[in-house]
Amino acid sequence: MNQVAIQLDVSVALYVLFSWCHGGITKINCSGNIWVEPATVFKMGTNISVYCRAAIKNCQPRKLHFYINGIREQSHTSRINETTACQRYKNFLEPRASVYCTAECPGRLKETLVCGQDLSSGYPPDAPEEVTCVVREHSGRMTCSWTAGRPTHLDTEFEVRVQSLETGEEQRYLASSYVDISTDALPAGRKYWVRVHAANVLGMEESKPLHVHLDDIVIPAASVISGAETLNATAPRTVVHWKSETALEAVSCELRHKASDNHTWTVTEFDTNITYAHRSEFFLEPDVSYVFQVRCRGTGKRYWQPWSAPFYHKTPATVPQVTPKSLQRDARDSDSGLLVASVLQSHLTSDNRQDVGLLSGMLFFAIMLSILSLIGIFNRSLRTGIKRKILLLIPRWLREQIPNMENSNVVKMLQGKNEFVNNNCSEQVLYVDPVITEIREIFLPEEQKPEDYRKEVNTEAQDLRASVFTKSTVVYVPDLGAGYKPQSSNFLPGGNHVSSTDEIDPSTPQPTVDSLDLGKNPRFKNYPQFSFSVSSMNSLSNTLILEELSLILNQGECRPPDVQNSDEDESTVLLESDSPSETLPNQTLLPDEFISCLGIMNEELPSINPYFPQNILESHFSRISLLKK
Amino acid sequence: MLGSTAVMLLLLLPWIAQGRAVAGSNNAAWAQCQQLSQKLCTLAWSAHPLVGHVDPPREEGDEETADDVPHIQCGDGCDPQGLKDNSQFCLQRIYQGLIFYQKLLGSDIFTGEPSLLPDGPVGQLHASLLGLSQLLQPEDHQQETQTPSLSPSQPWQRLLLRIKILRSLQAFVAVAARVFAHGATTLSP
Repeated sequence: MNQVAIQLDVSVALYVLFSWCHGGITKINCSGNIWVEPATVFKMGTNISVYCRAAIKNCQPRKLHFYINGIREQSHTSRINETTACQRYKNFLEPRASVYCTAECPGRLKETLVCGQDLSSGYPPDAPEEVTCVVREHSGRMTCSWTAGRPTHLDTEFEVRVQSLETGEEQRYLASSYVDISTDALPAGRKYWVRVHAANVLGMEESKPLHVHLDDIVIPAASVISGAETLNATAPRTVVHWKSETALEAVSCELRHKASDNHTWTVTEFDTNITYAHRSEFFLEPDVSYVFQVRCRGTGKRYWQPWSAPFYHKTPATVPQVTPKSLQRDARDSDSGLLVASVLQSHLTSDNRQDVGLLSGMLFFAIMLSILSLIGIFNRSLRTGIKRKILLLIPRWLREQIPNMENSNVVKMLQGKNEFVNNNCSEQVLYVDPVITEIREIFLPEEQKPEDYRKEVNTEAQDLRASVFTKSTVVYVPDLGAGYKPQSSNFLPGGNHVSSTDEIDPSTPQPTVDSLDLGKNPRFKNYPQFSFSVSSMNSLSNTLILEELSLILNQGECRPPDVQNSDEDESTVLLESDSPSETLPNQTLLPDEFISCLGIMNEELPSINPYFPQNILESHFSRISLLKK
Repeated sequence: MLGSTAVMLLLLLPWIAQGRAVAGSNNAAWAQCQQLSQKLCTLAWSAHPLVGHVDPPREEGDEETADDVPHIQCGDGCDPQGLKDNSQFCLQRIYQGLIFYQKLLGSDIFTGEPSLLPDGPVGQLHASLLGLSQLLQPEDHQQETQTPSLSPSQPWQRLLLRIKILRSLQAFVAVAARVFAHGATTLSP
């Protein structure tokens, strides 16, 4: 007895414990039944009737209500008897619907559920059409596909039936929309009948049989456009490169192209042997983006490959541009799977880099120039140094002061002393170019000449005139700061003085009229008497050159060389403050190479220098010619 | 006598299990639970019209069928005095109910045909249930919870089941919201 009581208690406890594991909130209790005529699954558009019969305890239903998809029906409800009602639907077009009915019981506030039913409508399947079976090269599988016709809205199954023409064996393969069959799983043989069978609850259909020979349905391996380039020629042409990995020998291909914004394709067909990479040429419009696609099939076979992925290529804007293949970037867009060839991108990128570099360089140069300018402005010693350096570096013509021939006293004097010029002009022409300048300065007014200089010129003028072009000794006055000392050198007579630098006495280097060194020696201006040799001091040529040097020293100041002015530049003031009795440094010999260089510079005639005012020079020479006559 | 004792022990078994602490219950984020429970109330009421336009019809035999739905009852300690004495029991009960409804809302009753919007009110309701149940996550993860009996249902049944479940859920979260509102007012540190 106790054991029975214990078992009963345990049972009660377990029921209490696990009572919530089996409950009513997830279940529906029907109190009657519901049915549909002609069926719960019917052809779409059919007139249907839904019947509801209540079987509720202690309830004689006052009314029966139908709900479709949770919404109560307000019409087309008819009471058949005390417990049964009918709801009719004409031309029912909903593919899915849920219906339930309730009963109003006397004495109960809420309707009581009778039961429910799901409705489905649709169509029987159409006969599958366009059945296609292909074998993609290297896949080893036969893929069959078809078109199923209009949607059935119902669960429809397809079955592919393959029958060998050689053995009669048939295999069936279930499918949804296509089937992929291993060639090893096919019935024996190479030739087959293929039929597709479609079926749902409303009916079944079968396609027309398809005759298949495995050797005829092979599609070559995919072809890919690998690149495109526009070549420069008499007429620019675009070459499209494409390739295929097919092992078939005879393949027919098509390549089509169109402008990206166009809808009309231009198709090029050709038979080819897939043993080498292919290229097709087109004459396209410049600066237009084109799309290319290719497809192939076995020659004489039935099925084409699908078109390859679009390959985009933009022709160059300008005609004579060759697009190297390496510059093309075949980019496969990860999202769209499109091939893109950006021909101009690399050009644009490099152009941008060049522009940036150029701008950066210009900016850097401007900043450095500004800094150097500020330093030069505020640093006097630096300014002086820069001035000397510039005088060293700038060419001679920049420092030459062009004589005003119209007001030249020298010319007037020469005109007055025609005989002197006639005796020497033939040789004078052979000498260095600033001859007129020298002549001009020799005959400056007496009151503007240094005292000793005038004396020398006056007392020995006749001797100088006789020997001026037979033997010329010039003085080289180096830069003091550079440690050079005045030197004297003899010009060789005649026209060989330039080319015969090897014969020049190294102790007397050729002075040259080059003002690079002379022009920056202001000491010469104020101390014209220093350390000339007696012979050179007696030479007219020396005098001429000294005067030229004096001119050079005064260039830019626009004053006679001996005019002392309080506002002379700093270097001049400094030099003038030096004592006249200051001991001059000893002479420094110049190397032969330098002298040779100077001699070569002397060889240049002013007339061939484009920077020399040619009209002045020409008038100058014409006057000399007149004087010679 | 022995049998009665055994029965009593068996009856007390779930309460022993419930005695385990809900994580952080003493330091429960009452305010946060209050907010979530209020949100649950709003969502349950807003989701209901979307699953049916009528009140669920009465089903014959409902009165005789044992209700498997977890209810918050007087003995669950969710009254003010019970919460003051020990809120563990009440929180445990709420947690079990949340898990129960969470499973229902994730079943094919709500995911099958006729389909509902995945990000609609029912989806939000499901996510909020998950959030509140995680706040009440017990330290003992192996703790037994109620599991609804789920069997394959037909589409016409789902329409009615959804209404029934949401109605029941509305009642449950209404009580739970009152518990958290009281706790946030009186028991929050």
